[in-house]
Amino acid sequence: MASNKRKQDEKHLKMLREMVSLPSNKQCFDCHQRGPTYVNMTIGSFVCTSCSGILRGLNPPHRVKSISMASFTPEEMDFLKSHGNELNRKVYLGLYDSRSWPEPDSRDEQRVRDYMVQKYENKRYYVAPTDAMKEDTKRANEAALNSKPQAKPLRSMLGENAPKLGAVPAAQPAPVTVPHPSAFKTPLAAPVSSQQNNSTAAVPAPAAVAKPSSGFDLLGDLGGDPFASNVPATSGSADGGFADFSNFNSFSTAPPQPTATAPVPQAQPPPAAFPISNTPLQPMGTGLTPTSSNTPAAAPAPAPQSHTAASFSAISDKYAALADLDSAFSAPTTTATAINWGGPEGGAINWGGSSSSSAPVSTPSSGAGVSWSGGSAGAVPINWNNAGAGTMGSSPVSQGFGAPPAGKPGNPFLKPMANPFGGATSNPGMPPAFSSAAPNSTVNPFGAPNSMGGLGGQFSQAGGVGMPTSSVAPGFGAQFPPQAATSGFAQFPPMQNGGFGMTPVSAGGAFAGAAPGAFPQQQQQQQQFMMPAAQQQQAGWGVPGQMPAGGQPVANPFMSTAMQQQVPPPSGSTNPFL
Amino acid sequence: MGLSLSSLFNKLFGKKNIRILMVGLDAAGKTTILYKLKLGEIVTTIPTIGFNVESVEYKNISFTVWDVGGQDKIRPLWRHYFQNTQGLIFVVDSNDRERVAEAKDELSKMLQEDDLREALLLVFANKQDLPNAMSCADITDALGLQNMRNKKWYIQGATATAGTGLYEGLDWLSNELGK
Repeated sequence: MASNKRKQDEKHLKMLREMVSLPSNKQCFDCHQRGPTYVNMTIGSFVCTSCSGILRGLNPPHRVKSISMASFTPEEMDFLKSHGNELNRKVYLGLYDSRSWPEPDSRDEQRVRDYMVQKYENKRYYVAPTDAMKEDTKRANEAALNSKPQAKPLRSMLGENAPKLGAVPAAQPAPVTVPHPSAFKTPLAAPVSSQQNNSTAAVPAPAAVAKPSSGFDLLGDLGGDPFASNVPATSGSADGGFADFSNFNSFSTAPPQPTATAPVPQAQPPPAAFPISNTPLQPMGTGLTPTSSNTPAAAPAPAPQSHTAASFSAISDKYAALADLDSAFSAPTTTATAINWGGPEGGAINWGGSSSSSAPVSTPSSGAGVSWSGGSAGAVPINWNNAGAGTMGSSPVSQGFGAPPAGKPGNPFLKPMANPFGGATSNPGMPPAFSSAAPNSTVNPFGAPNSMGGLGGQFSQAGGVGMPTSSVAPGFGAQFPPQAATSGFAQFPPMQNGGFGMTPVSAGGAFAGAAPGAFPQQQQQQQQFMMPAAQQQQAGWGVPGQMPAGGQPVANPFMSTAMQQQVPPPSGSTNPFL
Repeated sequence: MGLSLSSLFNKLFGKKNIRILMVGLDAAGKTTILYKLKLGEIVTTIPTIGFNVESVEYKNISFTVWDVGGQDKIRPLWRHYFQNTQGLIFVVDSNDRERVAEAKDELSKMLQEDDLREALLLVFANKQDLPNAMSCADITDALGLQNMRNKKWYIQGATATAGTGLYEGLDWLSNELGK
């Protein structure tokens, strides 16, 4: 019963948000301030907070309800649907002549109040509505609502391309054609079972990531699709990486696609792969979000050394872990894995890695914007903006990463990570984060030779949009050598996982054991995960990608110190990587 | 001896602190009451998200009044204010007949809480100035106040915008707590 009510509330809230985004309802009915947050249940209009206060004080008082802090009955929803600002304009302002009585400035409260007294108490401009008007309005509203892309950001963004994207991975058993967020859920479940079963489709999220470039409007705007360009550049390795990603789930058992890349030499039997993942994973069980992140952390380390195959296995495991988490915890926790590519307008697209739960989707969507900064640099410039907390988390992460690649053998993760995070948490603003990061890592990630001059500029731009992003970007630049930019992407998928793990871990400061502690902050962490993950992915990817391509096997910055040190359980003797 | 002297001194000259929690459905007039008590004037309020807190001096008693937002999704937060509350003011919009049942539900839910076992209950039947307002007797019935055993309660008709009834309510609280 309670859950039914909650579902209904969610549904109504969604409808309300859609209604409020209709052109006629986008402004307060009484003062034209943008972004109404209240509804006037007496007449069915959408108003701002201050006008809602005035409305309560009219005689007779109007009843106002907060869009987000109140729950609505189906009757009330119907009422709103058949009214709205458009109809009310015809009714309460039917005789209104703006020349004789200009509408007051929204900042002049007294005048607004006088105007509202005229409008509602004296009904000076009132024209009685007819039933036909209400019917028309309702029909129009419903049509408008239906025509609106409702939480189908993915589909709208990907368009026809979506399936194709899935296909790119080539042999991938499961072409991810997940256009709709809802689809993600299934995948989530799949990964769990799929640990050992390759059969399940690739995790939608990753696949989406790989391909989205073509579909994305945003990308289109940039001109170049970073991903697309990258993939070809990397050629075999890139493709393989990509494919792998999409394959994700299947991976553990069979390393089919990745083969393209040299590294994938061994098709490790699923079981073998498991051990690796298992160690890291278990901690996850305890701490939801954090754990999930932990697992990934383990993954990254192996990835570089063992190459794709290894990483993949880890990934698959990680997902399984996530799935477990999912089941264990209600929606929110699961989010950690999911990567959100929120289009600012389109709503968020969730590319839930595996487990992305519904909850995360909604949150990220609104706030998160993916900004693909200038495509010139190639993949690197991609900014994954996360709104709010998410960004913070992300920025630090990137920094941490940046440092390691710089070739700081010492302890890339510990040092940079710790600092960046601390700074990040307190300081959401990216710029500060940057500066701090630089000092920590002897090697200045930004200054790094690779640092594409172009990137710097791009990043800063990105910063304007989403602050956190900017910080992230720098990290990338440093990490990615020029090649990385191109090749990096292909490899991304594997890295993503790895990247993920790392971030949460460092951020939470809680490894396996600490996980529970991190818990309370699920939300933030989740967000962090999502976006940062993506970012990290990039960073991480770039590195790994290079490795194979460059033929430098050993030099895995992450692996060397960070991974080994950080991953507490050495127990995983079975795990070659550890 | 010294102890009793100091307590006597406090009784005579000291200021007493009383913690009051004021709740009620949204748009009942809680924030208006709070600022009428505090400032003596009517402020234009907006729906409260979160809370307002003010200390009101009256009869040498310092009432710390917590006014917590009443929209339905934030009502579950009320209970976080229950601890150490000596007086609970429940504000009812006397003119809102449709929701008086909802008010009753909220009130009875609250009074089951352990933290409020000792708290006095003062009901403000607000907006008595409106023509269609229910009387205090009506509201007493509607809230089922008579059925409350083991609970000290008092209902006071009030008009926050005119300030009528508010101090009478505080009088009752201070008398009861002074006993």
